[in-house]
Amino acid sequence: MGLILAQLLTGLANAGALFMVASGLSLIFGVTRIVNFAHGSFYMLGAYVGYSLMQVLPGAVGFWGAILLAGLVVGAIGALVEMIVLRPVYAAPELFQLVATFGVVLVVQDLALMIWGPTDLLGPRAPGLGSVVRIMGEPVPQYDLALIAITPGVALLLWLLIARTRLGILVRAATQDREMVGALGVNQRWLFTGIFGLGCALAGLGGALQLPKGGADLLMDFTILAQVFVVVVIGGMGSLPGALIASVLISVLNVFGVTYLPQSTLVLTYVVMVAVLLWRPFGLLGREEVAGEIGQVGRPEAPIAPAGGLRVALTVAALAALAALPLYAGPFARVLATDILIFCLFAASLHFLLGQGGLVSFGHAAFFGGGAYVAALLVRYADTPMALSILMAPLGAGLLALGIGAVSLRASGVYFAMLTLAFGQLLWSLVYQWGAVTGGDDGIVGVWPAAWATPDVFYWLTFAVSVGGILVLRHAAHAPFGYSLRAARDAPRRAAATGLDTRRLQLAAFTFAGAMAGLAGGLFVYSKGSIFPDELEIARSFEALIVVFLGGVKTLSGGWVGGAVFTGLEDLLTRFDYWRLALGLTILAVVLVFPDGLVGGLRRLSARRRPGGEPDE
Amino acid sequence: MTALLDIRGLSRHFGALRAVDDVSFAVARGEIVALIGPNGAGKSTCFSMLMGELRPTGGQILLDGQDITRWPTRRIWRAGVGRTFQITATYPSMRVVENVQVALMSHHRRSFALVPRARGLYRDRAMELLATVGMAEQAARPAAVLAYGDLKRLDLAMALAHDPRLLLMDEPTAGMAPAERAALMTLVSDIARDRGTAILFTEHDMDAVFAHAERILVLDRGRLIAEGPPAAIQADRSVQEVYLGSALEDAAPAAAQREETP
Repeated sequence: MGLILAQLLTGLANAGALFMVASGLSLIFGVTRIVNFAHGSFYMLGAYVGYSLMQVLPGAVGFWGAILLAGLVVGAIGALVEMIVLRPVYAAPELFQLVATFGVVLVVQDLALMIWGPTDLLGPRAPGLGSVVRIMGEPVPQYDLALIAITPGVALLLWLLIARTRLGILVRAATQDREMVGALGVNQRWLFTGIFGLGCALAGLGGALQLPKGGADLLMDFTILAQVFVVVVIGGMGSLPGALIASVLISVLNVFGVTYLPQSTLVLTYVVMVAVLLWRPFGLLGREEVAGEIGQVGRPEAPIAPAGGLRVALTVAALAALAALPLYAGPFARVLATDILIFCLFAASLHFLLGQGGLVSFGHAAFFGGGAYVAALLVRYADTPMALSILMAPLGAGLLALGIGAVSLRASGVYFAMLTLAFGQLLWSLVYQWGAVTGGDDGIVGVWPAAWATPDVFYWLTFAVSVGGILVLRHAAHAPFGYSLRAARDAPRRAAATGLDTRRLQLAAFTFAGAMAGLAGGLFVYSKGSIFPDELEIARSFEALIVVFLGGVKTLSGGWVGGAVFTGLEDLLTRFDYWRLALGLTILAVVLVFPDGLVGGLRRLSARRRPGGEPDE
Repeated sequence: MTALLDIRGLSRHFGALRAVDDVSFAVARGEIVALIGPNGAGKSTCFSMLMGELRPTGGQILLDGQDITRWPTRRIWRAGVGRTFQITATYPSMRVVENVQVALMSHHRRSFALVPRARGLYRDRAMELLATVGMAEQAARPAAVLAYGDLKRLDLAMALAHDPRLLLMDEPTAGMAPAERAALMTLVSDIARDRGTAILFTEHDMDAVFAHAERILVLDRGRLIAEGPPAAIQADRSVQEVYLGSALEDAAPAAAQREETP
């Protein structure tokens, strides 16, 4: 009994920081419709800034003052980021702001490394709260009790702010209908900046508050981000009470999970998330997404046409040069080209889903990693020959996508994205924690190409399969399937009123894209000789998403162009010390200069140069 | 012979609001029927239920004697019902002709086809349909750049792609210039006559209603309050009350005034 109570208290204490970070993310989403990937970074900044302040400010006043100041500082940084990075891209196509926030993630990671160094920092103890209290014989840290007392206070203040102030009225109004708030003469720019700053301040506060419990390290941004997404999704995007309930639920669940089901804590979290979303697709207290709110915004893309003779000739020439690579370049270039080809296929598959289907998936890595694991497991347990297991990879990933898609497509817009994220994380946690079968964190190693596939032959195989896959995806866009899919995206009611089964079209697209990602995964495992759970993780899904946006969603070649540029850039930059900073700044630059993505931007430039050229027609 | 469309006791309630309340009427083959009423009378709700986009809370919809009440939209479409939208619904990312081709691909059950290129499929038929609505010269333009009246005509061409037995038109002339309106309604009448397509349309423009409808249904606050040929509807006292004389006086001032002075 005492143990259970003590664990309950630990859970409640953990819920505090989680709630603050989650409520910030939720607020930002509710008002600005930005899914802020950088939210974990602001949490991390809060922890580091708080730590530094505690070093200079003495005593209890200094400790608590440092926490408050950390919140303020991070809030100010957040507001600054919003003004510099996000303001210029509000008009950009759907969810493009994601890319900008991802650039911020990379920049913050390296800035933190520069300023605070690579070693994990141990948080100082709270003055006067450093010991434990015995409750029913069990030790409970005093600081936990303080957190349990503070959290409702913060929640109450937030509630007062939202329910009782003019800013709160604006926030609630904007969450319901942004356009109307703008039409009523409210200065949206400053409202957005203010809310973004407030949300980031909450994240910073959360980061500083948990210092005595968890300290500060460079991985905490992604660790918390995955958790916060879970919380916000379970609670309902944009709902503060929902965030509170979900934080408590997840934190308590985690504490008990660690004690009673140590092998499946992660799985448990994501099972709960999937279950809640199946029961209530918009979260516990979320509201239904108004159709079209997240879907196609901005100008529609120009109608597509098959490539003309000159472009076909140029492409064939480029492909021939790429195919002949082993004849004139060394092994290093061959390895890089293999990486790029595989990643291009992966990116192109997600691009198909996004560009043609209008379906934003946050969990596409599940199919890339899924395909890779299918191949690796077949080798490990059935000694399957290479050709067969590479064939089975898309099949397995396609089946997986069929199942996940069938469930996720019950929702749409950002909730669909969140469901795919939940399933992706569920799969990742399964692979990660089911070590007996999957090797867990140690992965599966020793999956090498067959004897007949010399390095050169394997390169040609990768080349043929990747380029073939990309061409198949491209052809699908020109086929009736691609047209019908775009019809379902452009005007779902019209599509249904001309006999199209929009849900089935989207499910077919999801399965197709999943299978293609699986094919890339199958190649990947043989190119590396091993596979680890990282390939299934949220970071990999985001990377693919970023690449697709960078390349340009509303162009046919955005996927593979983005993939090639990104992988090439990464290879170039990782040779330097602060490569994340460089990559992050590059991404931000692309975002600000080419809001249509690379291909879209280039197309616009060339159209402008031609006299009278209209990019639209 | 059974009516083409037979609606019996159709209702849709949103909580306490009875958007459509126990409405019954029929439409014969090739007949042009107008469904009129003030804003909020339940016209669009009625259409949404007929097309399977909204579930009725009660009542039955029979198409050629077959109960289609709970069918999904696409199945109702396959049974030969087409519709146009009050706010045009076209595919802005495609060319005008491709918009129609997509509807034709669906009609020929090739929406999932992966092998052929879509550009050449059913192009001739699509051009014929565009010619019917007077949009042939604009076939190669992106639908995104069309003027509003042209979008309405494209919407109509798409609705005609499977040669419907019944065409539902939700405010076909809303947002168009007066000259355009008359031309479009004449076109619609011609289509009904030439192809034997029955047409059920809602409209606020009383000129269009009285010039082209063979029969008029009047909805008010969810209930069907009058039904009959144009002359009878013009003379109907309850209809005049609903419209406060304004709209009907515009359309037929003489007739309305005769009734006003007993």
